[in-house]
Amino acid sequence: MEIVVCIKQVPDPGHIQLDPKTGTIIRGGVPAIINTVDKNALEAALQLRKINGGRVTVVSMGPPSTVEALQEALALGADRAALASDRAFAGADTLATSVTLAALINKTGPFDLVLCGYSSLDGGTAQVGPQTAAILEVPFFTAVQKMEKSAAGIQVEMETEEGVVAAESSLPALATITKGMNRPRGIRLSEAKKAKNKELFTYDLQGLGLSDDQVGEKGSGVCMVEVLPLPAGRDAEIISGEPEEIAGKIQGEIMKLGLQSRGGNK
Amino acid sequence: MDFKFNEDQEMLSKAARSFADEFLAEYVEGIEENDEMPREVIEEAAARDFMAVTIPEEYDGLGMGHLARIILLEEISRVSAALGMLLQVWHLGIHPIVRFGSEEQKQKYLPRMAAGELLAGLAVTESTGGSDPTAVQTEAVKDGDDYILNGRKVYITSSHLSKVVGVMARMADDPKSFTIFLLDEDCPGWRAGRQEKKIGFKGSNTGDLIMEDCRVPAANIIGKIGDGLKIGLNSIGEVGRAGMAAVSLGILAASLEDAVKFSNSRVLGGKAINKNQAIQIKLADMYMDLEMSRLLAYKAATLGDEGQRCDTEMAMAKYYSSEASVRSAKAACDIHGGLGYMMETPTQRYLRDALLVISSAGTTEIQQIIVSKAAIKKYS
Amino acid sequence: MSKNREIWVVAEQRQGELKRITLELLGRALSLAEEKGSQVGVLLMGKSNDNLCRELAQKGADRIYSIEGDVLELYNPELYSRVVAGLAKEFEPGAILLGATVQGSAVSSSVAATLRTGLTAHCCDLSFSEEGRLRQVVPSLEGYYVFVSHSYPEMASVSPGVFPLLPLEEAGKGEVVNRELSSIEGCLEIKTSVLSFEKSVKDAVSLEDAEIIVAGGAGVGSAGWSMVEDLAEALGGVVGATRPAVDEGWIGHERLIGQSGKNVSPKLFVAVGVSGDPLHLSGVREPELFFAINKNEKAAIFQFADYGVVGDYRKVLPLLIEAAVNSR
Repeated sequence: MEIVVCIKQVPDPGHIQLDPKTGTIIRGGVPAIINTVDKNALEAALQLRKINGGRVTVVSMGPPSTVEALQEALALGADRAALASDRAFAGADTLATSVTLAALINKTGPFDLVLCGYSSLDGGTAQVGPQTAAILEVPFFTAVQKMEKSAAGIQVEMETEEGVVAAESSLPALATITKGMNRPRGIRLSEAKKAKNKELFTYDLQGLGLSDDQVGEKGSGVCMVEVLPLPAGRDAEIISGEPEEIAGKIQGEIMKLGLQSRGGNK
Repeated sequence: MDFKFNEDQEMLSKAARSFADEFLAEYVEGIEENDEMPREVIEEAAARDFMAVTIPEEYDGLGMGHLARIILLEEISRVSAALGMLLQVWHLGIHPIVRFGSEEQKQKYLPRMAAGELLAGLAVTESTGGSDPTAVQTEAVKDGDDYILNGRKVYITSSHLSKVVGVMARMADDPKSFTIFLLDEDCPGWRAGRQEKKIGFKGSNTGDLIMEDCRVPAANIIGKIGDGLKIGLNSIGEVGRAGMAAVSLGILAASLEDAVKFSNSRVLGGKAINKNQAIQIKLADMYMDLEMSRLLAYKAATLGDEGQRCDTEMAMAKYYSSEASVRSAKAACDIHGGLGYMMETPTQRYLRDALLVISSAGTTEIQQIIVSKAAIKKYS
Repeated sequence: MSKNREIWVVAEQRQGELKRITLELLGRALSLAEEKGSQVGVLLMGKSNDNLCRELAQKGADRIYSIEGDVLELYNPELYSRVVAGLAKEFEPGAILLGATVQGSAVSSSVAATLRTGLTAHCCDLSFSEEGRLRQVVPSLEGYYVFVSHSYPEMASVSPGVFPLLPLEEAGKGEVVNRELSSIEGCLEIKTSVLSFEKSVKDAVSLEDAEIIVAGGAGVGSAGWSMVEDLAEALGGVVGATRPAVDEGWIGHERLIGQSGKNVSPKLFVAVGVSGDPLHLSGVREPELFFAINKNEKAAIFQFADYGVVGDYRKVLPLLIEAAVNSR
C-alpha cells in the first residue's frame, strides 16, 4: 500500500505571544512543531503499513526549515519524505497550498491513500485535505476516527456533530484524521538513527511543473484586505481576599442574575 | 573546538524532550504522590530505546556514547529527576558488562537489557560507607565452580527493580582482592531488603540488597578475580558521575525555566518582578550555573567518547553541577516567594531532588579530593 | 456582472430536519441579498425534500434547488460535493455559504477547489464592500481578518451560532427547482458509498443553548478537571473548554468553544484557567455575567471578564461548588 501523509509545520501554540503594544503576533523566535493531529495521521499510516505492507511517504510545503518536521516524521518511521519549497509558494491560501501539495504528491509517484490531519493548529480551516482530494480527483473522507483496508478499498468512520457516518470507497482516496483515531507513537531512537539514511526530496516551483500564478499569493483564491481590532474588554474587577470571601462574592453576583437552575448536566 | 551536537545527538535530544514533555510530564504528580515509578513509564522509556543508548550495536543497542547519554538524561531529568536517576543507574549497571564483560556475558545480557526486559544495577556501597569501597564486607567464598556470597549492600538505587546487579565482594581467601559478580535470576539467595524513605527522588527506589549464601557461577564474574575495584571505580567515575551530572543539568534547566516563567508573569507594584535587579541577578547566576555545568559535563563526555581518560573531568562536572543544582533550585524557590515552598509548585521538588545528587556517585568532598589530586599532579 | 447572481446557502439536514445553521445562514443570506438586490437560493439534498422545501420557502428562500435520491439521505462527502459543484457550474451563483460544520467544511473545500475559487473558513461576519465584494470576517489572535475572494462564486463557511435565527415568515413564494441527480455533472461516477449512520447520544442541554457555562482551559490540568465539571453541575450548567484542554484530552472536542468549535451565548460564563486567547473568546457572545479565575494576573482573560480572581482555582472552586449546591 502506497500511503502519503501530508504534514504541516506550525508555530508551537504554547509559545505564541502578542506584542503588548501593537497587539500583533510576535512571529520570530517561536519554536516550530509538527501540527499535532498530523502525527495521528502519520500513526494511522504506520499502522496501515504494518498490517498491509507498503510504504509511507511524508510530504509538506513550507520554507526550507520544514525539513526538520519531515526528518522528525522519518525518525518516527516514515520511509521517505518530499518537500515543496520555493519563494513562489509564500502567502498561499488553502487553495494554492492544495494545488502545490497535489503536484508534490503526484511527483512522488502513484499512491493508494493520502492522509492528513483534520485541521491545523494555526490556520484551523480543515480545508487543505478535501481541497487536495478535489485537485487529485479522488474520493475523500474528513474527520475520520477509524479506518481499515477493505475489499473495496478503504472503510472509514467519520465523526460529525450528530453522530458517526460509516462509509467506504475504492482507492486511491484521501482521508483527514482526528485525534481520537490513535495515540501517536514517540520517537524510537533505533528508528531515528535510520532516518538520516532515508530519502528526502525537495522540489521547487519548476520541479513540480507548476507556474507561479497557480501557487503562493498569486494562486490564492482569497486575500486579506483588512484587520479589524478585537472588541474592547470589560476590564475585570479583581476580587481578592480569603477563598471563602471570594466564593461568597461570586455566589452573590450569580444569585443577582436570578437564573433558573436546569439541573445538573455535565 | 566544536560546540555543536551532531545529527544523532540532535535527534536524541529532540526525542528525549518530546518523551519528557508529551508523555512523562503527565505522570510526575502521581510519581511524587505515590513514590513509585509506574510500570508504563518504564515500559515506554524502554520502547523508545532509552535503555539501549550505551549498548553497542552488535548487541541490539545504539552505541551512542557518553555525550548522547548525558543529553538524554538531562532532558528526562528536566521533567523527572527520578526517572533520570533510574535510567542513569541502569546504564551504570550495563557499563561493566559492555566494558569488561566476556563475550558470553554480553550475548546473554545486553540484547535483553537494550530491550528493557532486564533492568541492570550496580551495588558497591555498604553500611561501612560508600566513599571507601575497600571497606566492603560482602564476602565471596569459592565452592567448586561457584562462589557463595554473603553480605548486605545499602542505599542501592533500584534495589527492588533491578533484575541483574553487579555486586562488589571481597574475596575470602584474599581480603585485599575485590571482584564484581553478576547476580541474575538464576542465582538463588539474593533479594531486596529494606526500602528507604527519602525526602526527594520520589519514584526512584533506594534500598538494601541482601545476599544470604547466594550461589553465583564463576561465569558471572566480570573481568577476573581481583578486578573489582578497577571496574567499580571506573564505572562510578565515568558513568555514575556523568549520570549524576546529567541529572543535575536537568534540575538546573527546570529551575531556570520555572524561575523565568514565574518572574515574567508575577506582577508586583505594577511590573513583572524580573524587572527588578534583585531577581535579574539571581537569573543571571542560575543561567551561568547551567551553562558552566553543561560545558564541564559535555567536555568530560567528549573526552570519554574520544577514548580518553575523563575521571577528573567527570568529577569536576559532577561536583560543580550538583552543587549548582542545589543553589539554582533554592533560587527558584526564593523567586517564587512563599509559593516556592508549597507542594503545588515544582520548585520544592527540584530542591529536594538536588540535595540527593550531592551524595550520589561520590560526595562533593570526594570529588574535591579527586580534583585536587589531579591539580597537584599537573602543576607540581 | 455578478450583481444579480444568487446568493446560495447549502442546506444541512439530518433525518429530514434542517440543522439550525442552515436557518442562520438563510437569515443572513436574505439580508445580504436585499442589500445587493439579488436573490437567495437554497441547495437541498435529501431522500425526500417536500417538507423542507416548504419550510425553506416559508422562511424566505427565493429558489430552492432540490435534489432527491436514496443515496442523498446520508452525508456522502464525495457525492454532496459533486452535486454542489455541478449545480454551481450550471447556475453560476455569486456566492455560496455553508456552515462551518464537519460536513460544511468538507463540502465547501471540495467545491471551492473543484471550481478553483476562493474560500474562507469559520466566518463570524459577512457583509458587502462598496465595490460589492463579499467581506468574509474571520476571528484571529490579532483581531478580525477580513478576506475577499478574487473570483466567483465567493465562498465562505460560517461558524454556527453567529447569526440570529429569523422570525418565522409566511412568505412562501419560493420556487422549487428540481434536478435529477443523474443530470448533474459527475454524479454517476461516485466511488464512495455510505454504509450507516449512528446517532450519538445527545446531551440534555447543548453548549449552544446553555445559559450557564463553566469553561476550563490549559491552567486547569488533568488532575483538577473534575472540579470544573462539578462546578458546572452544581450551578446547573454545562462544561465548555478551550483548545488546549481539548488537545490534552481532558474533554471531548464537542465541548470546544471558539474557533473550530462552538459559539455560545450564555447568561453566566465562568472561565477557569483560561488564558483569554481571542480564538476562544470569539466564541463567547456577550454573557451577562463573566467571571475569570486564573493564576496569572497578566492573563488576557481579565480584560474581558466582569470579575476576576487571581489565584489557584483549586482553593476557590470547592467553596463555590458547596455554595451553589446549598443555594439550590
